[in-house]
Amino acid sequence: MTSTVPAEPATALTELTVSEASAQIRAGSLSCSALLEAHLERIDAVDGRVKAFVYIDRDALRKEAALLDAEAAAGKFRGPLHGVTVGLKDVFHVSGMPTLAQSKASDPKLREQDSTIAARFRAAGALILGKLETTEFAASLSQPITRNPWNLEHNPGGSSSGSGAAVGARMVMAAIGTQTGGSNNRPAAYNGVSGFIASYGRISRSGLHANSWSYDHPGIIARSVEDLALCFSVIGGPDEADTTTIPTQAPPAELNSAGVRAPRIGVFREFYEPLAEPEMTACVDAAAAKFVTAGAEVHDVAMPASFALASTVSRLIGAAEKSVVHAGRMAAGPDRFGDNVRRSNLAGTLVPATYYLHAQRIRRKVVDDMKALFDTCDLILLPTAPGPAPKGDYTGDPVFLTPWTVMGYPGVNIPGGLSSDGLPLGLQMVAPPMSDYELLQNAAWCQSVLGVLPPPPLN
Amino acid sequence: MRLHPAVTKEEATEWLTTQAKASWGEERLPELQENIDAIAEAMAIISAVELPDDLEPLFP
Repeated sequence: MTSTVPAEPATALTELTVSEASAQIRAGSLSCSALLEAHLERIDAVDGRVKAFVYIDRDALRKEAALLDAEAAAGKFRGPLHGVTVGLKDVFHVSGMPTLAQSKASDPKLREQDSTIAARFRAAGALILGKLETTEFAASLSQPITRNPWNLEHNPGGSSSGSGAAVGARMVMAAIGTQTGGSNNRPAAYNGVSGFIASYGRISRSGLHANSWSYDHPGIIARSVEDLALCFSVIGGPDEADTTTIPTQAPPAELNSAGVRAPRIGVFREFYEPLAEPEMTACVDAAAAKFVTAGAEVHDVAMPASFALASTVSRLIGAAEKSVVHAGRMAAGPDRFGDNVRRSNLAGTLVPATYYLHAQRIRRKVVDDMKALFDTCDLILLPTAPGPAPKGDYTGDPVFLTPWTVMGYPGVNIPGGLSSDGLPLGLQMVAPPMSDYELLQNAAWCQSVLGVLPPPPLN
Repeated sequence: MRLHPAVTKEEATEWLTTQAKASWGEERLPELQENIDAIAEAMAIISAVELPDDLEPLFP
């Protein structure tokens, strides 16, 4: 396993983090147009191979960047992301752009209003570069078009395949994905970048093509944990258009990590060790050793018996909800769906209501049982995936992510190093619901200990 | 389909297959078999889980 490298100031514009670019634009040392052109050049250079973008309108982007530059020259900044480039998974509506969700059942001529996330990004000054590839309707059952920038023969993970690969390949500074099982943080892990899922209800789903209502989490992918926090501060918080949002404002953008004490870390070894590849287990052990050296308290934590039920609960609830989400489109023509998604939609209609409700009761028990784990630790550490990105069409195993998604717990992925094949290995950190800010603070502390990965060797 | 006493995977498979035939036609059964198996297995597992009567479902 190759180690990560200490973070160093970026030189090329596409190597800037969101925080760095934002500061330079505000200081007048970087123009929004120059930052945009650097990303468009990067897209031209690599996206023919990576295939992360579905939709991009260069003329409209150049006009918008010029407008942002004019505002900046007049001392007017829309918000903390003024001129920063972002992308959205192609299951979120963005005005002026189609939402295809990688499905033949979508209408390519239809244009919807901005999703809440897109609107909040725009209000903060972000430049929405375009739409990013997804698997069909964000179901990991289908194969992604996108390839992994670390090795094009390998999968970028899914379903947020374009979001992970675009950030990993430096085509965009931050991207939005979704996670219904493991669809945001697994692509973040496989592409060597950072990913974040907030507690369920802290980021609005309004304007998102649903996959499974009670599991769908919008997620953020960026290069650093600081950037995740900055984006979360912009897009998080209550939204009248999504009644499941929690009436608590998003936390501040600044993590103030300097004053944070080293965290108490619980290693969830009993759960992951039988399922992880040896190289992945070694990656967690190496990271834990570095955290101890840096002052963290690290100990193993036991797995509550009910935790093992989380994936089963997910299978049943997910099957039922997905079949209802797609019922109208299925009635209009089931053969417009790919084979795996069509079969899932048909079979999901068979789940009895009594079983759906019983699964939701078990879900509550798992959530309640897990809270006690955090009496002795601030975060739980485990791999994000059993190993590095697989070859071919398989998007990878969400086994280490799905239980937390079921429970609505917040989770972060940070890079832990490279495999012997030169592919990124991801470390997952999880905390109790509504402790998103503390989780991001602690994850930033961990990232400061481990460093970040260099760019993928695409050139 | 009863919830308790717990169902076996075989019972759940038989029930789901009957429902699938009625809903989607016999010609769809072969392509649905893998999904039916997965749902039947999940039904068997969760029907064996006993919970306190006052535990309410979680709808986030």
